[in-house]
Amino acid sequence: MTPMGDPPGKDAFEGEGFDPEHILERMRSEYWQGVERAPDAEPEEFTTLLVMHVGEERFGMLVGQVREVTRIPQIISRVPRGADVLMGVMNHRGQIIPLLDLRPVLGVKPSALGKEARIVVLKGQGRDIGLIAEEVAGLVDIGNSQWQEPLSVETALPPNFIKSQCLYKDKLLAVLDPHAFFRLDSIAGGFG
Amino acid sequence: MNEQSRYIKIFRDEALEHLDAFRTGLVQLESANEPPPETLQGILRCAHTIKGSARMVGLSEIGALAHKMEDRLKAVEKGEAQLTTDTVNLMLESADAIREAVDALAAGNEPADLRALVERVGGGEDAAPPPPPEKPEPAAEPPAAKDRRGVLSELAGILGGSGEASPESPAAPPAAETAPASAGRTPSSPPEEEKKKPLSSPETALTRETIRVDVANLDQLTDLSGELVINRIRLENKYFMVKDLFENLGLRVENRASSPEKTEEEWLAEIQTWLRDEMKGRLEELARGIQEMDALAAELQSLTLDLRLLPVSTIFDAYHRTVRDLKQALDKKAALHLSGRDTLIDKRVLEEINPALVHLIRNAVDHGIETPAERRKAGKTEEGRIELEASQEGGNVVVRVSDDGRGMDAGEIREKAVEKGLISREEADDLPDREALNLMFRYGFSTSPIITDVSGRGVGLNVVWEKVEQLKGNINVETDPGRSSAVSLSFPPTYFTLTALVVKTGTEIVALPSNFLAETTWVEPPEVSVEGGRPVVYKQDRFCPLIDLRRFLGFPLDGQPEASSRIPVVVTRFRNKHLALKVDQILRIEEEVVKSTGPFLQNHPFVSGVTILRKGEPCFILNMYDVFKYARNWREEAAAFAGSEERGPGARILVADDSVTTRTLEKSILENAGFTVATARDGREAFEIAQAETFDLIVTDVEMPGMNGFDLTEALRRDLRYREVPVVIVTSLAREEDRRKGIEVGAQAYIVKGTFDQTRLLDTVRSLIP
Repeated sequence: MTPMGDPPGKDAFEGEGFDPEHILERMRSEYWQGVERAPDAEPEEFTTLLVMHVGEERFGMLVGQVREVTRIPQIISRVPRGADVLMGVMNHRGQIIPLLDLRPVLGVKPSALGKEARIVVLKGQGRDIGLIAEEVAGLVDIGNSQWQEPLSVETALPPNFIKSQCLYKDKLLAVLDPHAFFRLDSIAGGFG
Repeated sequence: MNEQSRYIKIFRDEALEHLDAFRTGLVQLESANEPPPETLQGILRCAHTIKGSARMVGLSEIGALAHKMEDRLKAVEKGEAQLTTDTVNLMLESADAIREAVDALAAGNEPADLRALVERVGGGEDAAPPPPPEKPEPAAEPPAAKDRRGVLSELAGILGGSGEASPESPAAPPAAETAPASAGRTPSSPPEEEKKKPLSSPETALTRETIRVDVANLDQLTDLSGELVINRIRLENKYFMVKDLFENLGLRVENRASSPEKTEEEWLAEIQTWLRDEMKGRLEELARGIQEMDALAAELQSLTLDLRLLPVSTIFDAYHRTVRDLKQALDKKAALHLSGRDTLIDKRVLEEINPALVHLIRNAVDHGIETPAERRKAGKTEEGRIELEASQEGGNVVVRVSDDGRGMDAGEIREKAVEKGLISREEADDLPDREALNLMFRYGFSTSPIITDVSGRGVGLNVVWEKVEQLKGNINVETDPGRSSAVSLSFPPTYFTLTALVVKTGTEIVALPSNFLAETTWVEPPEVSVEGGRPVVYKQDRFCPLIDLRRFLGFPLDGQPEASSRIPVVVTRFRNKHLALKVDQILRIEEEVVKSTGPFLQNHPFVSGVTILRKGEPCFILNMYDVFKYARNWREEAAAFAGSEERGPGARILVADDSVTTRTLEKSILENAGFTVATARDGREAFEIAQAETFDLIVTDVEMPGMNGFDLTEALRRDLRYREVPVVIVTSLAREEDRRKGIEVGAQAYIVKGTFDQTRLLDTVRSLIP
């Protein structure tokens, strides 16, 4: 239904289903958030990151590379002899999206996903992929001065997964390189 | 595209259709004893139409040729001339020449010169290509080029100048050499070229870029798209209803301040009630709208898919020509019989399968059908029979090519494969006959002793196989040596849908393409026996390896494994091999719309596609080639099937074999693995030792002096103490009936010596004595 444009509050319908309580809750928090945020807008240029928790680590992802954040679907179909990192696929509005679980890569034994868990859908050429996050902390604005070089952030992820790092809440935050995940297909296929 | 070339394209489509009909009719006319007059009339009409249309678009040479063809056939109709083989050859050659000329024109190239051919057809001189042309043979002579220029300028006019723009420059060699498409069609071409011609692929309607659509279908489509538009507007309205509600809600939240007397809870409760009531009706409306849209989309999809379907006759009819040309070249007698011509297949699939079928038909004429002399000797009719049947079977199209020729000899195929280094002698001896036939699909296999144009280039059925593989199809070969052979291909009729068996295995649901199914059944644990350390079940008249699909695909268990006595089993078949798959539940057979898995999973093993099931869950369609490939090296836990009891280590084993080498070898293997072993030299001795002592397992040879292994097993089974003791038969007899006999007399496992190795014996023994 493209001609109508993006309806306002589309997200509210997407993730929460049609549970009025959720919608209401979301509306209220958004209402207050808007009020709170307005004064502290800074003149400095900034980049918006989506911050997520995976394993015992926290990662950032450039918000422009994220298509959307959705709840864990009821059914995730496992891939025959799929690699550990390939949790399965989900049907996302008719598109089949592979879901990657970074926990095995981080050396963390995957446990059942909790209520806070989300799928961060990354924009891909031709096909999107989903990244399992145990929690999505939200969006943060990172000012230009907060970016740091060279890479020194501590993480169990292989270096090619990390694009850059920045200072966030006085700690280094690794920013993920989505291309690394799209390149995983060869690995996932080779695991069979 | 300018007007002229647009007309040429239209003419091409029309001409191709008539040329097809012309060729098919001509071959029918030739092969029939008393052809109905309509056949000849049909051919005449084709020639007449081509003539008229060619003149309309200004292609006078083609028109002239068609005219002469018509004249020639008219004479036959009037009884003034006979339809000789030579006449038919000439007619076919002319039809081919027209086709090539039209193709060249449509592609913007210059066509070959047809004038010599026109003269030959018109001149009534039948057979031979004309005497060497008066023009000197070194064709680079200017006069020839000039001649051609005459034709060219005519065409250039038609094509609005594109003829002039062709690569030919005054210095370039003449057209006959620059345009490969026309090579071998000009009368001046050497005779060898002519000989090769019959072996070219038959031309069919497939090469056309357009497709004919039933007007009724189009009407339906138009109606449907109209409905879609209406439905979209309806859905949009429903969306606005929800949107209104949402905005309303926003207003209420903003106006919270206007009702300060209410507590937060009261306010929330009020809004919730209001929201629930309002939401309910609108959601129902939306759901209905989506349902309607679903139904429309499904109908639209099936109609659109139908548009792509063509009857197999589109390609089948041209095979008459293939057979005709080939039997002439090979001095054989053969007739092609078609059935199921109306079976519908997607145009693209037809395109894919066409070369494979041509190959199979050539094989049938070349390898299958014997020479008339040989056939007489074998008590057959001189004329061989080749059948090509298409049918729809459970969502798949099955195309079967069979002939009543000499059949295939499994022994000969084994020998050939060893000779070509495709497999080792041992492997060859180990293969059952029907599996030996599969060797023909390997690259580099060809049984033809000499390399001919027809076949025998060492590619053989490999080409067929590659095509079938692209279509995710299945292939099976049957033969009755000396009498007949048949190759069946089964594949989904479109690329977009697939009929599949949906099964549950562990936590997952997967789909098995139906063209690989042999049987769905239940197996009771006692039916499972062990052969070479692997569980097997007797299904489809043979022992099939049994595999637990869940473990095989690496899926987790769904809750506690059920202690059910009946195991649901799907028996699958691929290239004459069978594989039994244990599943948890056989759900249903249904037609699936195949979706691509996307680049990420494109080359993932076991995955051939994905479909969406009723509840919206993705379901993988298994790649059966991978299933069969990986199954070969898959170690199934035999114990998982046989309900064998626990036995302590150091179990006692009795080995019976008349060969001292085998005896010693087996003894040391087993002793090294911690078993206590006693040996016997034949069945009689084994039986006596078994009476005196107690054993937990018996390993026996079959062929032994006195009492053989089968007799020993049978005798042991009659003994109360040994009724349940596992017997492993180790033998060099690889025949199916021997395996069967072994199982019948009560053996649990059967190891063939050719494949005998230490691990296999140990695996087998361990699976029987945990």
